[in-house]
Amino acid sequence: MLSRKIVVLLVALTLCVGTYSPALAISTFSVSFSSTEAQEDPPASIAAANGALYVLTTEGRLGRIELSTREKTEVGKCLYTGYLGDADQVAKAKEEDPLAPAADQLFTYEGKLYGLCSATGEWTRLLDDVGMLSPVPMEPVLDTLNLMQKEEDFSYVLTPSSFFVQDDRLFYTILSYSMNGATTIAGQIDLKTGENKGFQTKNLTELAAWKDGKLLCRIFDEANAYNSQTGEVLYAQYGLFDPETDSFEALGELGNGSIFGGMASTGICASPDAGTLYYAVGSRIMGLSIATGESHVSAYTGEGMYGSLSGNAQTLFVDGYYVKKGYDEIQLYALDTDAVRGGALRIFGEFGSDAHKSFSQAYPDIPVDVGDEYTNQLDKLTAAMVSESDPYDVLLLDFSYMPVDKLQQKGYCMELSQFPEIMETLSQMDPAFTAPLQADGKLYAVPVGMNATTFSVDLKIWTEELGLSEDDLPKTYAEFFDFLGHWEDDFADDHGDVPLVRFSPIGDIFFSLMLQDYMTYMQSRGEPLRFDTELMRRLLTANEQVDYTGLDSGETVRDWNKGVLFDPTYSLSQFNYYNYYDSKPTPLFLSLEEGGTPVIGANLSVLIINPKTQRREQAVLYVNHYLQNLAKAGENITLFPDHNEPVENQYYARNQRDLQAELDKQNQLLEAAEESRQAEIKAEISMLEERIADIEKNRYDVSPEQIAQFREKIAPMLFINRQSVFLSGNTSELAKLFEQYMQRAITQDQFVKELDQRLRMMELEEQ
Amino acid sequence: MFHRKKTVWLYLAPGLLGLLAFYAIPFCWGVWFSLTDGTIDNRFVGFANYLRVWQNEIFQLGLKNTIELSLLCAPVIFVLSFILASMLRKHVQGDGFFRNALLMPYLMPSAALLIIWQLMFDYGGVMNRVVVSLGMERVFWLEGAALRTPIVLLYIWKNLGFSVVIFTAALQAVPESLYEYASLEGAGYFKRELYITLPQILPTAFLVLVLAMVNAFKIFKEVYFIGGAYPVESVYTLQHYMNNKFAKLDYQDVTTAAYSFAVIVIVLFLLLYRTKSVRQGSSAA
Repeated sequence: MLSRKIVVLLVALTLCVGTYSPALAISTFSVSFSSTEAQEDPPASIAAANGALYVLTTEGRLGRIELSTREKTEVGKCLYTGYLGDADQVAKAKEEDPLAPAADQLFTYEGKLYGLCSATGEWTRLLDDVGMLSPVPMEPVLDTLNLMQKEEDFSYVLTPSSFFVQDDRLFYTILSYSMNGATTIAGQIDLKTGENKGFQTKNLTELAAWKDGKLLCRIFDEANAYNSQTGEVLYAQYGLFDPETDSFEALGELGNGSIFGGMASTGICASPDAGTLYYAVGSRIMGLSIATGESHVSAYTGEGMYGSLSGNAQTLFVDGYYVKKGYDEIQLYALDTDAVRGGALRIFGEFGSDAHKSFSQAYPDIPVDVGDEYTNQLDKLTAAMVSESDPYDVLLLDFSYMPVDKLQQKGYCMELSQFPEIMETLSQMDPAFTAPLQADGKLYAVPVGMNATTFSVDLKIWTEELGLSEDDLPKTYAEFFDFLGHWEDDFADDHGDVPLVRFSPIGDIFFSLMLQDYMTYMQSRGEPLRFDTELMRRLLTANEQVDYTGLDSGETVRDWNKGVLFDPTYSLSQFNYYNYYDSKPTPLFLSLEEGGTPVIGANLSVLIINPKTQRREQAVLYVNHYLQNLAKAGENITLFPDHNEPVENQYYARNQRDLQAELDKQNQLLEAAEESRQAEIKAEISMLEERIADIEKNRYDVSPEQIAQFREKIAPMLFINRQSVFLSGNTSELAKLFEQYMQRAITQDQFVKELDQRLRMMELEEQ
Repeated sequence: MFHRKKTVWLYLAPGLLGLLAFYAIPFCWGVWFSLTDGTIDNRFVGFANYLRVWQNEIFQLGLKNTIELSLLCAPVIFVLSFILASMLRKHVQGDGFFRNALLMPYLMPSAALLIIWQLMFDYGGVMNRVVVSLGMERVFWLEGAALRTPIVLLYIWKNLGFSVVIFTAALQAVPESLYEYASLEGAGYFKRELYITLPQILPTAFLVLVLAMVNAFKIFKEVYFIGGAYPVESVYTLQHYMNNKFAKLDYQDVTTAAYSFAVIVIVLFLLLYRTKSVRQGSSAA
C-alpha cells in the first residue's frame, strides 16, 4: 500500500514537474489577459459550451472564459483524477472531498458540460442551467480502457489530443510516447451504451468534429517522418473519417514549408459552418477550405519553428477563436483578424526561445511570424531578405557558423547604433561580446546567445576508480594525449570497463576539439590561420603517439547512468547543464602550449535587422525586448557582468512546501500511530527527509558559486569565434584532408601543407 | 511582300522571345551586374570590379590553368580523333563496335568515370603497377602537381569519341571516286589525306576544333570530382574561382570573371574564324 502511494506520489510529482508553470494564464494573440491565479495550476482539459470556454486544471479548478467579454471566472472545484491510476485511488481521494465531481477530461454534449473520470469511466454533468457547479452523475459508466495506460504494477491516465462528442459518441485520439516510439490510439465511446470501440485505421493521430456523420482527421506516421530513401520530409494527410466504417477518404496534405514536415502540422480543429479546417504550423494557424483545398494564414501564434511540434495539444474552434491547451496555459488566437491580414513581423531562425515567445505576450497587437525554412547559405538568406513577398525583418543567426560578417559587408545588416533603446540595454553587456559585431565603430548585430563548451572529466572516476589525484589532471593537450597514449599500459587491465567518452570515434572527437581550440587560439592572437606552424606540428605529433584503435570500442555508451571519463561537450554557458548520471563532471581546461593560458571558443547567436524592413519600429522593439528577456539561467548572466542574482529552480518552492507539508503530516501521524504502523510511517518520513535534502541540494538553477566561478575563471578564457575563412569555404574539402590524415593516408607534413595551401586559396579568393 | 515579312516575324516570334528572355536579357543584365558593387543597394561602380578581379592572384592562376589545359587538351583531341576517324572511315567488320566503344565514355556520367579513374590512378592502382613494373618509383597521381596528368587523360578519354563520330561522318561523305582518281594519278596516302581529305572536311574539322576548344575551356567537372573546390594549384581553373565565388555570394565577381573570360574566348574564336577564312580563301584561289 505504501509503495503504491509512493508510486502515485512520484508519478504525480513527475507529471507536475513536466507540466508546471503559470496556470490559467490566458494569452491571446489579439487581446491581452493577465494571470490572476497562482502560477502552479496548469490546464488539464478544455471544452466549449454556450459561447464560453471551460478549463479544468490539474488542481481541479473549473474555470470559465467568456469569449465575448474575455472575462475569466472560477466556477467551482472538481476532484482532478488525472494522476489517479485506478478506481481504488479515486475512491480514496473521494473520501477527502466527497462532493467534488471527479474528472480529468471535459467534454460538451447536447450543449451541456460534462466531466469524465478516466480511471472509473464515471461521467458527470457539471453545471446547472444557470452555469453553477451542480454535479449530476450520468449513466451508463463508460468503457475508458483505451484512455488508460496499464503498466505491470500501476496504471495512469493518458492525455488525449482530440476529445469531443458528435452524434452521441465521444471521440478520442491519443499519441502515446514510449521507449518503443510513438503509438496512436483512437476510438469512440457510445454515450448511450458506454461501449468503447477502438479504430483500426492506422496513424489516426487527430480528429475534429465535422458534419454529416463524418469527422475530419489527420493521418501521420510519427515514426516515419522522413523518406528513408531520399531523406525528404513527409507531410501529414487530412481527410474525411467515417466512424461507422472506420475508414478515411484522403483529401490532401497539410502542407507547409517546415523543415519538420508533417510533424509540424498539428492541432486540427474545424468550423463545419465555414467549411474550414484549422491547424498549426510553426508560428502560424492555417485555415484550409475543405471545398477548395486552399489554405491561408488565419493567425500568428508568436511561437517559434518548434511551436506546433507538440503532439498532444488539444485544440478547439470556438466562435472565431483557435483554442489550444498548452502545457502551462490556454492559448486563444482570434482567427482571420484585420491585424493578421496586414501581415506580420517576420523572423528568421527562431526555434521558440522564451525571449521570442514573450514578445507576443508583451505586444499581442503585433503579429509575429517565424519563417519555416532554415539555412546558413548566404545566397538563400539574402534572397529571403530582399524578397518582394514576406521578406524577413529580423534574423537570428549564428555568428560563428553563418556569414554575418559577409552580410554586414554587403549592407544586409541595419546599423543598430542609431537606436538609443538598444544601445542602452547593450551598455550593460560585456563589451567582449559586442566588439566583434562592430564595423567602423558602428554596431550591426546584437548578441543574444552564447554557447561555449569544453572537455570535462568525471572526478569520481578519476579519483575513486583510477586512483588519481586532481593534481594529476592534464593541463595541456600534450599531457592529455600522453595520458591517452599510456592508457593501455597503465589502466586498461584494471579499468577496461571505464569508457573514455560516450561516443565514437574517439580519435576524431579529440582531434577535432584540438583543431577547434587551435583555430580559436590563433584568432585570439590575431594571427592568420596557418597549420604549418611549430605549435601545430607539436600538437599533431603528440596526437600521433596515441593508438586510438586500442582505445575505441566503436560503440556508443547508451546507458546514461554509466559515467564516462571525459565529456567533450561540457557546457560552460548553460548553468543548468544536466548530467544524466550520478557523476561529478569538472571542466578540464587544456592549454595548447606548456605554461599557456587556455582559450575557450564561444559561439554567439546574434540578431540583425534587415535594412529593407518595412516594419522598422517593430523590429527594433522586438530586438530590444529580446535582449531584455534572455534566458535567466544562461545569457542573462553570461552576457551581462552585473547580473549576478542566483536563479532558483522554479519548482523548488512548491516542491519544498508540498514535501514539508507531507512530512509534517507524517510526523503527526507517527505521534498518533499504533506501534505496528510506526515502522511504515518512519520509513516514509525518512524518504521524505531525503527528498527534501535532495531538493535543497538542487535549489538553484544557477547558484551564487556558479556565477562566481563563471566571472572569475571562465569569462576571462572566452574568445568569440568568428566565421573563419576555414568555415566559410567548402568544409568538405578540409574534412577529406582530415580523414586522409586520420587514416594516415597522408603524412603530417602533407596534411599541414595541403591545409595551408587551401586556406591560402580561400583567402586569395576573398581579396 | 510586306505581308509575307509579317508572317515570317510571326513564325519567328516564339523563338525570338525565348532567345530574348533566356539569353539576351540575362546577358545584358549580367553586364550591368558586373558593374555594380553587390551590396543590398547594388550601386554602380563602373569597371572597379574588372580591375579588382583582374588583379586578383587566384583569378590569374585560374585563367592561366584554364588556358593551359585547353591548349593541352583541344589539339590532342583534334589530332587523335582525326586519326581514329580515318582508321574507322572504311566500312570494315566491327567498325560499329569501335565507334560505340569510343563514344561510350562520352555518354557515361563523369562521376562514374571518376571511380574508374581513381582505381586507375590511385597510389596502389593500375597505373602505378605499370610504373613499378617499368622499374620506376610510384607516383601520387591524385595529389600535387601530378594531378594534371590524370585529369588531362580523363578529359581526352571522355571527349574523344564525340569528335571521332563527327569526323567519321564527314570522312564518309567524301566521294570515294576522288581517292580512286588520286590513286590512279599516283598519289600516296599522305598526299591523298592532305589534298583531298582535308579540303573536303575543312568545315567539319573547324567545327571539331572549335568544339574541342569550347569544351576544354569548360573543363571543371573532372577536376572538381577529383580535386574538390580547392584542388592543388596546378589544376585550379577559372570555373573553380567562379563556383567558389558564387557560393560566397560574390555574384559581381562571378559575372565579372565570366564576362572577362567570354571576351577572351570570343577574341580567340574570331582569330580562328579569320584563319579559316584566309585558308578557305587561299584554297579557293
